[in-house]
Amino acid sequence: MEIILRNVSKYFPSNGVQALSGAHFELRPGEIHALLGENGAGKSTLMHILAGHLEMTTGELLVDGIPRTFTSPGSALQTGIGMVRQHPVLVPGFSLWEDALLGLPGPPLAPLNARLGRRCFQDLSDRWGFDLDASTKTEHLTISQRQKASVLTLLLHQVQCIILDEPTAVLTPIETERLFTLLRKLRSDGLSIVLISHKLEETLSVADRLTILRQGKSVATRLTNETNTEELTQLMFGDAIGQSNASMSFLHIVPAVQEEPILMVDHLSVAQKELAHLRDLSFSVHKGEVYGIAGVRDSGLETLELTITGFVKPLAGRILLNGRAVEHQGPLAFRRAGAAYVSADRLGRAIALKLPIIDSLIVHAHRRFVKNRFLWPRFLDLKAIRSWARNIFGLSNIQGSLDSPAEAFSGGQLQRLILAREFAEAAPLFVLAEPGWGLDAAGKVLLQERLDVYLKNGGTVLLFSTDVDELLQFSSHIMVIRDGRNVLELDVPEDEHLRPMLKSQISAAMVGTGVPQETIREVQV
Amino acid sequence: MIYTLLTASVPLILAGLGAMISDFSGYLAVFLEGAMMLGAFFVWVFSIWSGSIFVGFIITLLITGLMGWLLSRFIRWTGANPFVAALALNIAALGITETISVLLYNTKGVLRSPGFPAINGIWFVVLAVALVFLAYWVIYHTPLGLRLRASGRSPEVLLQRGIDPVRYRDGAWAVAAMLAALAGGVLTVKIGAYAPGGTNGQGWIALVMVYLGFRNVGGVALAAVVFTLIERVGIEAQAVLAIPSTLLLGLPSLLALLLYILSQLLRKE
Amino acid sequence: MRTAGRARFAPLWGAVFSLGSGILLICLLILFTSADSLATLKVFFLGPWSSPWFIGNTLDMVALLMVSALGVAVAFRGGTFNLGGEGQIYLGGLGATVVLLSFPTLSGTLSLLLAALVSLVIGALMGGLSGVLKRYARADELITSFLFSAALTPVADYLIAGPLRDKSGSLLASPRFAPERTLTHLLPPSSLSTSFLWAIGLVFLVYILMNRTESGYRFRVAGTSPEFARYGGFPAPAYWVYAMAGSGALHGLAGFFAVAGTYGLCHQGFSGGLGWSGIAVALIGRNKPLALFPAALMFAWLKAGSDGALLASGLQFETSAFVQAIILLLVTVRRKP
Repeated sequence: MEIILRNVSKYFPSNGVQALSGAHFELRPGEIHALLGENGAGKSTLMHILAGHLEMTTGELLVDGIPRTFTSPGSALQTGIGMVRQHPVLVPGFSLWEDALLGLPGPPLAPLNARLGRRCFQDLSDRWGFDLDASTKTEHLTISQRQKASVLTLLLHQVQCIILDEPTAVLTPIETERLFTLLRKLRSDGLSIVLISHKLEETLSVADRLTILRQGKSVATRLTNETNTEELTQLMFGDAIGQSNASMSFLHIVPAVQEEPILMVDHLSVAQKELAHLRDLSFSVHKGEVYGIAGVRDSGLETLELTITGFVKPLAGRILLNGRAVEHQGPLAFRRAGAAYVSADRLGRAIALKLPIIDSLIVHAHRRFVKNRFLWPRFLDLKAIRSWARNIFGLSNIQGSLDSPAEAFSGGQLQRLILAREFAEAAPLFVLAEPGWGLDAAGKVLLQERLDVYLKNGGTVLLFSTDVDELLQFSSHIMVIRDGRNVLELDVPEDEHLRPMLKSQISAAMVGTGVPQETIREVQV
Repeated sequence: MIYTLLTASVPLILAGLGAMISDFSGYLAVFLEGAMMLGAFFVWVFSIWSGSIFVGFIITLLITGLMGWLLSRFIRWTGANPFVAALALNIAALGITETISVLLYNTKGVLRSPGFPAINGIWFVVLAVALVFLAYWVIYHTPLGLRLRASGRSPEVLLQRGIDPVRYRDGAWAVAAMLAALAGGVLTVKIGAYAPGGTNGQGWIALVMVYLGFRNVGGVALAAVVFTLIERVGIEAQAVLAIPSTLLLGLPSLLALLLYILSQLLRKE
Repeated sequence: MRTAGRARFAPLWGAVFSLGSGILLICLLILFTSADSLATLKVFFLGPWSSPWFIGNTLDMVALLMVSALGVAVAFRGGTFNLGGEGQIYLGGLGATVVLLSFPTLSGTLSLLLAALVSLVIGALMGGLSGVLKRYARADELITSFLFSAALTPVADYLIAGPLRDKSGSLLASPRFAPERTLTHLLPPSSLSTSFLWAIGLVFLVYILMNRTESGYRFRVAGTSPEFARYGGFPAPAYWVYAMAGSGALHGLAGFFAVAGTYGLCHQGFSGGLGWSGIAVALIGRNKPLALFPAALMFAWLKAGSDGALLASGLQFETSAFVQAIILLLVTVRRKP
C-alpha cells in the first residue's frame, strides 16, 4: 500500500505545543522505512496521526491515492494500517489467541471454536517464526513477546502497513536482531513497514529508506545505501554536531563536595510483582551533585524511583537520607528526612485534579500553617495559606484564581506549579523524575533557572530519566541501571562539547551489549 | 429435596446470571432489584390480560429489556453517574408497580386471581439450566462474548480494534434487566399471585453472587444454589430454634454479607 | 480548555435540571389527571407554605433531610458511597427510643443527650464496619453497607412490633416519650422542633471541619485523589473508615431527630424513604455542606407540595417515589443532552 502524508501540522492546545509543522512522509509498498529524529522531533505524533490515534490540525493523508481521514484507530485498522506500541496493551486475562482474534469482522454469534482459534494463531505464529504459544495468558509475556503478539494480531486483521514505535528501546540485542529478521520477512511478503527510532546504527542495518524529522518538520529523505551516520546525525541535530536543542544551554555544574553522602543506597533488592526487579543495587549521592540515573523503561528505573521515595518496600538493603534510614517507612518519612519529590506521573500522582488548585499546592505546606497544635481539630491559618499559595502562583508566572479546579489549568501550567511547589520546600535533596516531561518551552526555562538557584544555595539533585540527552544536559554524574543492576557510573565533564560523546556509551549500557543474561522477567504494563 | 432446592434457587440463578453479564461489561447493574420487582408485577398483569403466561412473560421481558437498554443509553447520552441512575430505576420500579396496581386493582397489596394458571416448577429449573448453558456458550465461545469480556477489562483495546465498548454495556444491561425480570416473574408464578416485596432484596443478593462465584458463569450459578441451600438450612433452624419469622427476613442479607466478606478476604492479590 | 468560570457553573446543571424536571412532571400529572387543575396546582406550589402548620411540617422535613443528606455528603467527600442510610436512620432511631423509654431517673435534657449519643454511635458502628471492611478486606462499601442495613432492618421491625410495642394501642409503635423527653416544638401543633436548629448547626459544623481544619483538608484530598494523598503522606484508606463512620453517625442522628422531634415515638418504618431522599438532596447540593440547606428546602417543597396535591385532587399516583426517581436520574447529568 502506498501512503502519502503531506504538509501535516499538529497543534496541542492543552499545552500549547506545536508538535508538527509541515511534515511530509511517503511510504511505498514492500519497504522498510525508518522515521528518524531525536526526542520531541514529532516522529511519534506523525505516526499516531497515521494510525488514527490523533487527528491532524492541517494536512493531507492519501492511501493508495485516495484521501482519507482517520477518526479512530479502528478506522485506520479497517484501511489496513496498524501500529505496534513500544509497550503494547493486551487484554489482561485473555489468552493470546483470544486477544488476537478480538475485533475481527464477522458474525458476532458464530461459534468460536477454541481449538480453531488456537490453531489459526499458532499456524500464523509458526509461519513467521514467532515462537509464541497460543494458549499463554497475556499477563505472562515479556515485552518482546508482547510486541510480536501485537504484530501477529495486526497480521490477522490483514493490515498492509505496520508501524513500530521505538520497539528496540526495550529489547536486548538478540531480540532486536530477531525483530529485524521478522521485519525483513514481512517486507518480502509485500507489507510496508514504518520503524520509528532514534538509534542510527541499528536502523541503518534494516531500513531501506530513512526520513528525518527535526522540530516538527521533515528535513530529508534518503536511501540507506546513499548515506551514512555522519550525514544523518547532522540532519537529525542541525548545524552543530551534538547540540540537541538550540534554545537550551547547558546547566552550570557545581563540583561535588567530597564528604559524607547525602543519600546512600546500599545493596537494595526489590522483588515485587508487576514491577521490574532491583538486584543488589548500591550507589551514593554527594552534596552538591546533580546525580542522574539512566535506564530504559523496564530496567528498574521506575522501581528505584518508587523505592527510594518510599512508595515501595524493598526486600533487602538500606536507604539512608541525611543519615536516617528510610527504606521501610513510606513517602512521608522520606520527605521528612529532607527531600522533595516530583514524580514522573505528575498529573496522576502529584495533583488533585478535581479539587481547587490551592488544595494541590498546600499538600506539604499545610502542616506548617496550623493554628492550634495540641487540640483537635487543628485549624488552618487560611489567610497565611492563601498568601503562600499565591506566592507559588507568582513563582510559576501564572495568573488565575486559587479556587479554580486544577483541571481548569493547562498541562504545562500544572507542571510549573508542581515544580514550584516542590522547590518551595527548600529540601536538601530534590528528586526529579523525567525532568522534561510535560513542560512547555516556558516551563523548561523555568526549570533551568530554579535548578540553577537551588544548586547555588547548596542543594543536591537526584534525577531519573529515560532520556540520555536530558541527563547529559543537567547531570554532573550519571549512573546507568539495567536489569535492576548498577552497570555503569561516570562523571560528566564540564566541557559542553565533550558531553555528547558519552551519549553512545551510556545508550549502549542502557540497552546492553553482548551476551544475554538470564531471560528478561515478565513485566506488567 | 434436590428438587425443591433447585426450584427455590431459580430466581437467584437467573438474577445472578444477569448480574454477571453486566459485570463483564464493566458496569455492575445495580438496578436488578427494581427489574425483578417490575418483572414480578408485569408478568402477573400481562398474563391476566392476555390469558397466557407465556405471552405475559414475553411482554414483560420486552418492556424490561428496553428499560435496561434505555437506561444505559441515557447514561451515555448525558454523562450521568451509572450507580445513581440505576438506583433511580430501583425507586421508580416501586412507584410504577404501586401506581399501576392502584389504578388497575385499587390496592397496593397482594394480587390474586382464581384464573391464574399454575405451572410446574420443573419447567423453570429446565429454563434456568438452559439459560446458564446458553450464557456460558455465548460468553466463552463466540466473538460476541469475547468482545463483551474485553469491554469491561480493557475498553481501550476494543477501541483500537474499531469497536465501541459502551455498546456492550447497553446490551449487557438490557439482558440483565430481562433476566432479573424473568426471575421476578418466576417468583410470581411459583406462588400463583403477585406479592409486593416478594423479591426481598434478592436483586441485591444477586450482585453478591458475582463475587461469590469468582466472576465466572458457572461459579455464579453454583454460588446461587449453594446460597439457597444455606438459606434453607437457616429457615429450618428457625423452626427448631423458634426464632421469630420477622427476623428471618433479614437472614438472606446477613448471609450474603458474611459470604461476601469471606470471598473478599480469600481473594488472593 | 474550559475557563474557570464556566467550570464553576457547569455542575449546577444537574441540580437545576433534576429539580426542574421534577416540578414539570408533577405539573403534567396534575394537568392530566386532576379535575380542577388550577386549584391543585395552587396546592402544589403554595400548599407547603400556606399556614403555620404546613410551614412547620415542611421545615421539619427540611431538617431531617439536611441531616441525612449531610451524612451522604460526608461519605461521598471521603471517597465512599454509603448505601445503608435507611437502615442507619432506623436503627439509630430505635436506639434513641430505647434510651428515651428507659433510665427513669435521668432528667429530660440528659436523657435526650444520651439518646442522641446512642443513635450516633449505632450509626457510626454500622457505617464504620463498612469502612473497615473496605480498608482491610477491599470489600465494596456500597454492597456491605446496604446488606448490613437490610439485615438489621427486620430486627428493628421485630423489636418495635414486639418487645418495644405500646400494648395499649393498636399501632406498630413504641409508647410515646414523656414530654420532657422530646425536643421542644417550635411551632405547635406542627412537628417542627429544635431539630431544625440542630440541623443547621450540624451543617455549619461539618462545613467548618471540612474546610478549615487540617484533618478536613486531608479528608477532602483523600476522598477525591487517593494517589495524591499517598504522595502527600496521608494515605486514603484510613479516611474511608472516618467517612463511613461519620456518615453513619449523621444518619443515626437523623433517626434520633425523627423519633425525638418529629414523631415523639418510634413506629415501624418511620425512616421510610429518608435515606434515599438524603442521597437525592446531597447530590442536588453537589455534596457541599452549605448548599444542603437550599437543596433540602427545594426538595422538601417539591415533596410536600406533591403530597398535598395528591391528597387534594385524589391523584392516584405514587408521586413521591417518582419524584425521587426522576431527581436521582437527572441530578448527576453532566452534559446538556
